[in-house]
Amino acid sequence: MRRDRGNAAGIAMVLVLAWLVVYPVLVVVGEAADGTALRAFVSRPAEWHALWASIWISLASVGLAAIIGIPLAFLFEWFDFPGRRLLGALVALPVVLPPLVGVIAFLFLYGESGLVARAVQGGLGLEHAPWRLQGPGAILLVHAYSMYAYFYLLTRAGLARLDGALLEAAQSLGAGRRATFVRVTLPLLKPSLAGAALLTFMTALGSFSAPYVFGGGFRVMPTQIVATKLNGDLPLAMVETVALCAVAIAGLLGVGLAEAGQHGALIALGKGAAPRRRTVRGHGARTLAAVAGWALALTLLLPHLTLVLVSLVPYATWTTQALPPVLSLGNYRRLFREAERLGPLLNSLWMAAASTAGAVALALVAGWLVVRRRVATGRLLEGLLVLPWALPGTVFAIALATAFSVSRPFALRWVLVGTGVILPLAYLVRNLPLTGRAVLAGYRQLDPALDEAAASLGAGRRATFLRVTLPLLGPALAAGASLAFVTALGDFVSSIVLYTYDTRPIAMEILSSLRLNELGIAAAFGVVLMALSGLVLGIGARR
Amino acid sequence: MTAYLEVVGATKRFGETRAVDQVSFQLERGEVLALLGPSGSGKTTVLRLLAGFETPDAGRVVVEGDDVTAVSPARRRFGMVFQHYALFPHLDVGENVGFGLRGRADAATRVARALELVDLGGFERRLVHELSGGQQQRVALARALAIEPRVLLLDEPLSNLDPSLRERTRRELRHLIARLDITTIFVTHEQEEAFDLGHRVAVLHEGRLEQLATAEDLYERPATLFVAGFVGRANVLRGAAARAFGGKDGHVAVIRPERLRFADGGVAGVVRERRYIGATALYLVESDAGDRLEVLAEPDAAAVGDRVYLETTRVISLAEPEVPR
Repeated sequence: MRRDRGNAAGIAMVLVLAWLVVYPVLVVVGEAADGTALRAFVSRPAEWHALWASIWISLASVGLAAIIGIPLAFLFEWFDFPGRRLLGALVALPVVLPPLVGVIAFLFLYGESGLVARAVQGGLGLEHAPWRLQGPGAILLVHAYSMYAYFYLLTRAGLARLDGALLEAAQSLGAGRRATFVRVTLPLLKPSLAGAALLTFMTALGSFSAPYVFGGGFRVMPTQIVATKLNGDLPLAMVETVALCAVAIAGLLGVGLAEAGQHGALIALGKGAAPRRRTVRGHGARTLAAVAGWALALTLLLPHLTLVLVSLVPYATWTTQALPPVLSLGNYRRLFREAERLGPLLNSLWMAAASTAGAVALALVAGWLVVRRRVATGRLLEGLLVLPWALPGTVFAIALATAFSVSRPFALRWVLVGTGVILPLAYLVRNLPLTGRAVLAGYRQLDPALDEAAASLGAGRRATFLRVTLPLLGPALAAGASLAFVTALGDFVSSIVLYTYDTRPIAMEILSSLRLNELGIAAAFGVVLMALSGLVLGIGARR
Repeated sequence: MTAYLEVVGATKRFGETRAVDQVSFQLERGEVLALLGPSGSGKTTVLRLLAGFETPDAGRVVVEGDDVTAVSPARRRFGMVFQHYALFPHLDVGENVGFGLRGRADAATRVARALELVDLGGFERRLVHELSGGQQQRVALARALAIEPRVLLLDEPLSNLDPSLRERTRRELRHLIARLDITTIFVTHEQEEAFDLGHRVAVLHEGRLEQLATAEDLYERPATLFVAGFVGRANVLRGAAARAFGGKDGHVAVIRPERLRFADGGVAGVVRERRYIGATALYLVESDAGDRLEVLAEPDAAAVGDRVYLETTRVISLAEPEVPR
C-alpha cells in the first residue's frame, strides 16, 4: 500500500520533470523536422562553419584548460609553500564566477582599449591600439582562463584521493619518479581527467558570453542560434538547436565509451590508506614554488582586479591615458540611485531566489523519492534531474521559448514568453542538476537508521524531516543552492533569448551599458555580481 | 662473521619528536626479525628507513657491505609488503606481480613462479578487487618476492586478515620465508605474531631500541622494566613488597603470574577476583600490605574471598629506570 503510493508519487514526479526538461526539447525537435529549414541548414556554408567552429573551439578549450589546470593541481597538491592554502582556493575562483563577468573583465584588461593594450601603446608610442581582442583566439583565451579550473579542481581531488602507499609500492619495485608517474599516478588519475575533459567540453560547447562578445564575425553554434532567432528565422533556429544537441550528446557518448573500456573500480583497496605525501623540498625549491604560485594566482586574478579599477572610473574621464586619471564611487551611486539601473539588479535577485527555491524543492522531493522510497522510477528521475546539464544553455532557452509561445492547454503549452514567469522557469531548469546532485549525494550519505532512531523516539514523519533530515542535508543543500543562485544571478544565455524589458536581468544591463560605452557602469555591475556571488557562495560553503 | 644487514645509529626526527632514536642492530642472512612495540614506538618508521621512504637524519643502513643509506627506494631492491597491500587497482594480478620486472625477457615465467610460491598459480588475469583479503595479501607478497629482493619488509602483514585466517597465513608465511631463506624484517604490535615468526624480536619504545633478543630471552630476561611490562603479564613490585618475595635491595622485582603459586606459607593475602580462562584461572590477590598481585594457577586452586599465601619460583630483578615512566 505505502509502496504503491510511493510509486504513484514517483511517476507523478517523472511527469512533472519530463514536462519541464524533456518536453520543450521534443517540441523543438518536432518543429525542426521542417524540410525547408533542413535544406537551408544543409546548404548554407555558414551553418557548417559554425558547427565546425563549435567543435574545434570546444576541443581546443579542453586542451588549453588541461595544460593550465593539471600542472597547477600538482603544484598545489604536492608542494608546500607559503600561502598555498589561500592561493589554492583563489585559483579555483573562475569556475564559480559568472562567465559574462569574466568576459568583460578580459575586455577591460586585454581588449583593444584595455589596460595592457594602453600600456603597450603608450610604451611604444603607437598611434593605434596594438591589437584587437577578437575572433577564435580571443574566445580560446577566455575559455582557457575560465575553464582550467575544472581540470584544476578535479585533478586535485583525484590527487588527494591517491593512496601514497601505491606510489611507494611502485618505488620499492624499482620504478623511479618518472616511471611511477607514468605507470601509476597517471592511470589512477584517468577518471578525474576524463571527468574534467567532459565538463570542459560541455561548458565550452555551451559557452555563449565569450563568442558573443569577442566573436565578431566568427560564429559558434550558440551565437549562430541566437542570431538566427533574432533574425526571425525560427525553423532554422530549431534545426541549429537540434544540431548543437547532437554534438553535445556525441561528446557525452564519446567520454562514456572511453570510460567503459576500462574496469570500473579504480579506488584503492585498503580503507584508511596511508595519507598521501606532500613533497616538501629544499629552501630554493620552496621559494621557487611560492613565487610561481603567487605569480600565477595574480595573473589569473588580474582581470577581476581590472574590473574593480574600471568600475571606479566616471563616465568619459578616461580617454588616452595609460591609467585612469579620476577615481570615484560615482558609478556605484548611479547604480543604486537610478531606477532603471537598480531594477535589473532587483530583477536578477528575485528571479534567482525564486528559481533556486523551486529547484531546491523539486530536488528535495525527487531525492526523497529516489533514495528513501526507492521508487521504481528512481533511475529515470535521476536522469531527468541531470539532463539539463548535458545540453547547452542555448538549447533550453530556445526550447522554452518555443514550447511556451503558444496557448494549447491540451498539449500542456501556455503562453509564458513575455511574462515574468519564463525567465525564472528557465533558470530553474538550468539549476535542477546543481540542486539535484547535491540533494541526492546528501541523501545517500544519510544513514537511514537515523530516521528509524527518530521514529523510535516518537518523532512523526514531519518532525523527523524537520528535525533530523533537513539539518543533516543542510551543508549539501546550502552548497547546491548557493551554486544554483549564483548561476541564475549571472545568467546570460537564457536571458538574452527570453528577457522582456520589465524582467531584464543584470547581464542584459551590463550588455546595454557596454553598447552605450558606459564602461564604468558595466564594470560596477560586474563587481556587484562578483561580490554577490562570492558572498552567497561563502555562505553556502560554511558548515 | 660479518652481518648481512646492518643498521647503525639510525635517527629520524619529525619536528620536535624523535621517531627513531639511535637504533642499531645487525642481522645475518636468512634471519627473521620482528619489530615489536606499541603504536607510536617508531617501529614503522624503522621499516620505512630500511625501505628508503624516509631518509635518516643520522646513521647508516648497510646491506651486504653496501651502504644504501642514500640509495633511492627504487634502486635499493628491498621488497615491501604494505599494511593495506597497496595493490595497483588499475592493473590485474599478473601486471601487479610483474610491475617490478618490466623489460625482463623472463618476466612472465617469474610472475608465474612468484604466484606459485603463494599458491595463486593461474591467477594472472584476475582483477585485484575480485580477490579476498587473504588472496590480496598473497599477491602483495608475490609482487614483493618477484623482484628477488635482498631484504623482505612486511608492515603488519597479518593485521588486515580475519582472525580465523590469521593463524594459517602466519604458518604459511613462516614456511615460505624459511624455504626462500630470505632476510626478513616485519612490524607487528602483536606479541604472539612476533614470537612465532621472528627468530629474534626487537622491542621499540619511544623511538629507542629497548632490547633485541630471542622471544625466550625477552620474556625470561627482560633488559628493562618496559620490556618486562610490554611482553607478557608482569607483577611489578618495589620496596618492602619486592623484598618479601626475595627481590634485590634497591631493585624492582618483576614476577610473572605463572611464577606465583598458592602455598602453605609466604606472603599472605585475600583473593579478590578470579577470571576463569579454561586450562587455568587468573587470580587477583590483595596482599595484607595492600599490593595487588596476579596469579596464574589451576582453575580450582582458590575461590574469591579465600585467605591465601603466595610463593614465587622466579624473581626478575631490574634497575629502576632513570626517568620514571
